[in-house]
Amino acid sequence: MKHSIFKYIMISIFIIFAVFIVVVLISPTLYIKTSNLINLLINNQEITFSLILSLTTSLSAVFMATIFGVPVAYVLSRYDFKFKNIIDIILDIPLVLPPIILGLSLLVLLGPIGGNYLAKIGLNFVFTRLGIVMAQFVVCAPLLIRSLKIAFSSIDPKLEKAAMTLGDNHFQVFKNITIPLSKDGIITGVTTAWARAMGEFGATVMLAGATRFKTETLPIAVYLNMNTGNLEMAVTVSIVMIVFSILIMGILKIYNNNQKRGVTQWF
Amino acid sequence: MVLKVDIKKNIDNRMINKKFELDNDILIFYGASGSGKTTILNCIAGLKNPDSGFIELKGNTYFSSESNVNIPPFKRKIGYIFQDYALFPHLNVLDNIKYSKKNTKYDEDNLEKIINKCHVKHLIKRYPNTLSGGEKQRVALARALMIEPDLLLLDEPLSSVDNEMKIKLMREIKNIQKEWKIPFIYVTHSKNEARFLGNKLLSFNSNKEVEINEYKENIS
Repeated sequence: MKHSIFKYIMISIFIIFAVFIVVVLISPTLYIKTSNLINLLINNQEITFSLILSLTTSLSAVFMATIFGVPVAYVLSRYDFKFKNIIDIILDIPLVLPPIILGLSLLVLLGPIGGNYLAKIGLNFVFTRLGIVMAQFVVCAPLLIRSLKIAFSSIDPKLEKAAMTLGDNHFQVFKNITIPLSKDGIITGVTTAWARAMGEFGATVMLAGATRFKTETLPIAVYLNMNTGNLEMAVTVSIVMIVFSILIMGILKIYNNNQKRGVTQWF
Repeated sequence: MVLKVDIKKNIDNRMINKKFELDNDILIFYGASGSGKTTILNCIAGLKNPDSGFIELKGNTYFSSESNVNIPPFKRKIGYIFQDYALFPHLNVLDNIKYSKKNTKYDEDNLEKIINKCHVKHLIKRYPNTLSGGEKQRVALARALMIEPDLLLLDEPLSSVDNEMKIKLMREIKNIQKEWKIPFIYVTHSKNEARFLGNKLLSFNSNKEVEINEYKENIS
């Protein structure tokens, strides 16, 4: 009897929360007529521009995050060194810091402090698309590093040692053992980092600004259209982002489920 | 002598000093858990660096603090069977066995011979998680033999198999050593395994801070 009351309470809270999230996600579609939505999606150049800009910048940011994130996560999971814990905490700080603060820090660093030096080598981050990539990179990289760190730490170091005694040098061990065994963590990390980069707003608006048809990513398009009172347009862009998020999370879930089925072969 | 070792290694503020020579025999590293057996094994394999001393195998210097030589593990031709076997979970048995030859041409007959010798032919398509302790031990042995090692290190390889299987596998290990005619170093804290397998024994049991090697021709 007690058990069923417990179960009833838990399931009730679960249903209330799940329904609440679903309602939040579908509410933008209740505001706009389907015909208007389709018309805007097909004919509005601003949405197309924002979507392409968001995709290109976020993919570049995630690519950069992977290039830096894989070695950083590997070092944190495999080597012991002085101040490791402090560095580990510092690298996690962007996860909890408001993105607008990160954006401000980037603006100060890449503008007044280092902007002139960077301009000499052709790098301009302030109010440019490069700035969007940088802002998205700083926000999504710690998320990726955290996921990779867990993935690398879950591999038994004996497997890497065994590969070494079988003729693999460090690079070969990394390629043949470490990467295949942490593949799921890498895919999950990259995907969630990509979704985070696509939705990045605070840091981007501080560093790259919010200029229509220039630095107008999808979240910035929502912001600009809300500011000018074009709620229908803002809602349409929001729907695009919600659909994108559902697709990403859906694909990830399907992949993970398939892997679990396949992975039982070897775990 | 095929193998000459004289190394010092500090483990948790305890200096372990091991000096021994070995021909094509089975040497037992005998001692309690935490006595430094696996650490010394790792030093011989090149997975850890000794603090000082030298390791020579078949006339080749693998480590020498004096001449600043330290050959990396992937160039040492030392087979290593880890405790729990460390079979690669994402590869099937055949790919595990062939791992050391994945980028090079290899003798199919030799592969066949090793597979048959280790009795793993019926397992080659299976994945490590589906194998019993005894089967894993055989696959690990086959994988280590594929590199055609000059020395084989076995770190408590029978700790997770039942007694009946243990006797069978110990016999197989002994036979393979006789056939391959290479030195084996076998780590154990079991007196029975030590008595059954070893020609020689190196004890790691000592309460002294600086350990004195005990090197016996026969186990008393």
